[in-house]
Amino acid sequence: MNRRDYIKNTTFLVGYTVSVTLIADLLASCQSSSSLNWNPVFFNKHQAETISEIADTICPTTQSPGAKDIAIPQFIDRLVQQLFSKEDQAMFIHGIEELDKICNKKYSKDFKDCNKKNKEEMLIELDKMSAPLPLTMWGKPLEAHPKQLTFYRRIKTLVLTGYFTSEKIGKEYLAYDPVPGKFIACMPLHNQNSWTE
Amino acid sequence: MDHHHNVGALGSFEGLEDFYYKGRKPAGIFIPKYINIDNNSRNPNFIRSFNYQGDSGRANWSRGSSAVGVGAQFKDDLMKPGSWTMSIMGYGETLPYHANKVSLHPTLKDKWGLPQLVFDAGFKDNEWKMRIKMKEDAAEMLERAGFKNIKTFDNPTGLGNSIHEMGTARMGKSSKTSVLNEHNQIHTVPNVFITDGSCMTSANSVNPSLTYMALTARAAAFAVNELKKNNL
Repeated sequence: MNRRDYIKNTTFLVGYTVSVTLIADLLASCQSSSSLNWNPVFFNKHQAETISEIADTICPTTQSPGAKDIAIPQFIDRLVQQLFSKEDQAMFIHGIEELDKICNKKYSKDFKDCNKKNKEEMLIELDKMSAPLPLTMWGKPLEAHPKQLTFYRRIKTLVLTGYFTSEKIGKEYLAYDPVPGKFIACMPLHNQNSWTE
Repeated sequence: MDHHHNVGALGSFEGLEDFYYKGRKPAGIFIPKYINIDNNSRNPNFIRSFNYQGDSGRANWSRGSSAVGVGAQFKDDLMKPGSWTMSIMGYGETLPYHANKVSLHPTLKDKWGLPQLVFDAGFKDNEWKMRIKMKEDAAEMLERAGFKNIKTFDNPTGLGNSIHEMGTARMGKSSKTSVLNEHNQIHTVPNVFITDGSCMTSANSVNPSLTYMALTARAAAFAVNELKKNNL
């Protein structure tokens, strides 16, 4: 699925009916604990915490919100429940188990309990081991035999898709232009962020 | 039948970082055919030709999916436009092979109990040889234009994936070799006109939609005239 498909299929999900959760998350964001304050619909508590920690390691809070602040783990939980095949769902659960296995070997802890430095190290390592997304142009796959996507490449794609297509980031951080009007083929870039798209 | 496409090259450009655009992309490109258009441009390996379509733009946040990186700096960088990229894709002519055919399946039925349609058609030697040139030239153009990290691609998929269906009731001079005459009229059933892309013979490299409209207008004018003369 490409980004457009995600959005098409999940408009009702990314519509963010989670403002209550958002407030709760913001209040809780100063706590270092990874305990959940929402009820996952697909993952169990441990899996959901792991997904949350992966999401927040990829997109932590900076001057802009982190993945947890804007309910990206909830987005992934719903997406996997409602749009993924049984095989893909199983791959996600297996991926989480494998991640914990490696973390236990390296750091004697589950991923969610590792410190920030180790979490980042771990994900960078998975990044290096995972094939990139297959090339596409105008939504067409350009590779006849694309490499199998790993759990990590898929979860990273979901995190970024959820994060950068969210209302919060789209409206308040990227360059939001809901009534674009004029087409400009070439213009100076005055330190603006990318257009929301 | 259909063009063959999904072959070409893409690359990234270092520089021009102070420039951006508004409205998805700076512009699309179209490179008309330049091979086999006259004696000086003959290619020894294939007949007919291809064109290129493509566009450029700056990578958005989705580049992060395949990039190595996580964390604060990574996320904040993704808020900004990435490097410029350009992709060019070839659209080639598919020849009208006599062996191509459509038939009804002898036993398999669809969910309404009608026989399933069997398409027996494909790209052949001329298309495969043309694709090699389509790929090589695309990469060379990008290279000479100063692009880096050039990747070529060739994923032929199948007839119909280029969206411009052509042929199956071809136009020709005789009912022995074709279905329609020069007025899009069925040779053997003069009161039936077929005015979509079915009349096409070769599947040219360019978008055929306007040609279909022109052929339809011409066929309709002919039919009206014939009706007035009581010939239909």
